[in-house]
Amino acid sequence: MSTRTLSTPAVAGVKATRAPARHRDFTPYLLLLPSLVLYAVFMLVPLVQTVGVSFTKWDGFTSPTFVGMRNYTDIFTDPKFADAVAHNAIWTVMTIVVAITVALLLAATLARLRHGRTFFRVTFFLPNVVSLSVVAVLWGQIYNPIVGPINIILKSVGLSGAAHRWLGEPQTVLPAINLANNWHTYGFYMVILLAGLQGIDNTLYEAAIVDGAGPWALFRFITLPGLRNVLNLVFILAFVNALKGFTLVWIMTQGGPVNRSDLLATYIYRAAFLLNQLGPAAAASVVLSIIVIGTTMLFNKLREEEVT
Amino acid sequence: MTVSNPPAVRVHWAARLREMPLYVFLLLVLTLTLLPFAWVILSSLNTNRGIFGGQLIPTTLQWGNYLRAWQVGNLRQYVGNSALVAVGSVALTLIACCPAGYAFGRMRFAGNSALFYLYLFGLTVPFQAVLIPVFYQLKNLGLINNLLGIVLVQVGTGVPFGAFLMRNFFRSLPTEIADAARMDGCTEFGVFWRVMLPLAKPATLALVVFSFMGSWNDYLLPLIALQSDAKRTLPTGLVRFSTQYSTDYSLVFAATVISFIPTVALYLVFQRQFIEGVNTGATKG
Repeated sequence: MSTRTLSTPAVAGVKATRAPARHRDFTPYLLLLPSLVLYAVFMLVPLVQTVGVSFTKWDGFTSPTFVGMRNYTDIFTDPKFADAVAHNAIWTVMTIVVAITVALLLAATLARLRHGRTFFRVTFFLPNVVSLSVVAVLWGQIYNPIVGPINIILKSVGLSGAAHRWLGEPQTVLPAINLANNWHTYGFYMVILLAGLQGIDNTLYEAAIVDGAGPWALFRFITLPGLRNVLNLVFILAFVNALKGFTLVWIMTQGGPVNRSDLLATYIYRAAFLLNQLGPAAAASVVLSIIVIGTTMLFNKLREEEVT
Repeated sequence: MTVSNPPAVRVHWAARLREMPLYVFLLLVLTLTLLPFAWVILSSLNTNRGIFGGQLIPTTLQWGNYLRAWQVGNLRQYVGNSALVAVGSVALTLIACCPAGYAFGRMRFAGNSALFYLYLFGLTVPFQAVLIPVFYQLKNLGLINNLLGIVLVQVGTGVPFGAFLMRNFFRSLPTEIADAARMDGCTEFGVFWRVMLPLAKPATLALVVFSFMGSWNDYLLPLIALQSDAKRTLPTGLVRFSTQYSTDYSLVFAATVISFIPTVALYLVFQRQFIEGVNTGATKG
């Protein structure tokens, strides 16, 4: 009894001084809680589950059975998977050659413009805010063999032979969809490159101009070296975005004709949701994710090392 | 200085002249960028007879096409669903990401940097990595064909970007204001809610714009998770509409224009936030 009464004030005293501290300790966790729950339930847990599913044979209805690495050996020997990988590579190269080259030239021009820079930047970025499904429907009609403006113009100038079923022929389908994607995306790359250009010391240009350097020399010896890191970033983004690319291809051709526009993401979707082959689909997802995550993290690490 | 000025100016003008091809290039790209918009808007005002006749510019403007596109089919429903999902997604993103960004940016606690790296890691994860389990997750929760399911997944996968954006902004704010509020007896939550959050308006606005656009334009998630036509959002709805009325071209073109007007309008109002967001998202992620 007496010990209890003796100890009580002491405990209360400890509480009185420690309570605010403890309260402060919990606040950050409470602030993190909503985001952490949503992030864990809809991203972290499914991420682990994808890896799990990739080692099983599963149709989504019956219970999955463990098959080890079978799905991985299956997709690596599937010629359609190889085709999808090859299309991803071609897609990336076409994006770099067309969209990023255009974006770079535009950014270099805009950076030195005195008037109207904002107007041009706003307009060039405009297609990027349109959703890809709208782009798919819009460009699907642009490539329409009958009412599409491309064929109408070709026919009206006497080039009927050059008119194609752009999305229906194996040779034209991938470049055609890629062009629609480039229209949508080049403004995005331009904005990043433009931000990079603003980091280049302007006195370098002034000095070179005084020395009689022409626009090509300025571009070759000042702009390009100064942009090296940002250009690397843009190349990585083109590569990663190609791997994530799904919407345009799925709406415009579903990967056809005869898989000639199939990308990894459409391959995965078809396997998972049309063929109910969840094991191989998950294995392909894991491969895709490792490439994307690995590339991004490696790039960030290299850049951090360069900064320090 | 003054002696060397005139020749420098002259060289400058010569350089400007040699840059002419670049300006021609600028205008060329500008034209190619706007032509698809111009073509679809013009075609949306044409008659089907004119479109089939290969007419690129209509002789009379058929504004009624827009009324028809709005009234036949389910376009109104799609727009309504998209609006509901986008508003829900934006609201929940703010509720989740503003406090998280503040905790990461301004508070010292055990596991801060470890948790932050866990969030940063999410910036690198493609949606394909979670696509299959998310579908079954929603199925188990009874959220297939339910707009709430779309909201939850959009917010969950958007948390890394949102938390990162807000954390960077909170870190850039001066510490003195928060210290003063603490001296006045404000609780840690009070410091966040009453002092710091109101100061974070620019970043919050950027987050609103970005989560709205991400939600409004999302295609893959609604494609797998929404099955009945009445639940469709605009991206999958427009595709459905365009196959449903595939021979009624003017109708499809009008629906296409209706579909991009909201985002284009939002962009023209908030274009600065768009540019900022692109650079924040691109330089990490």
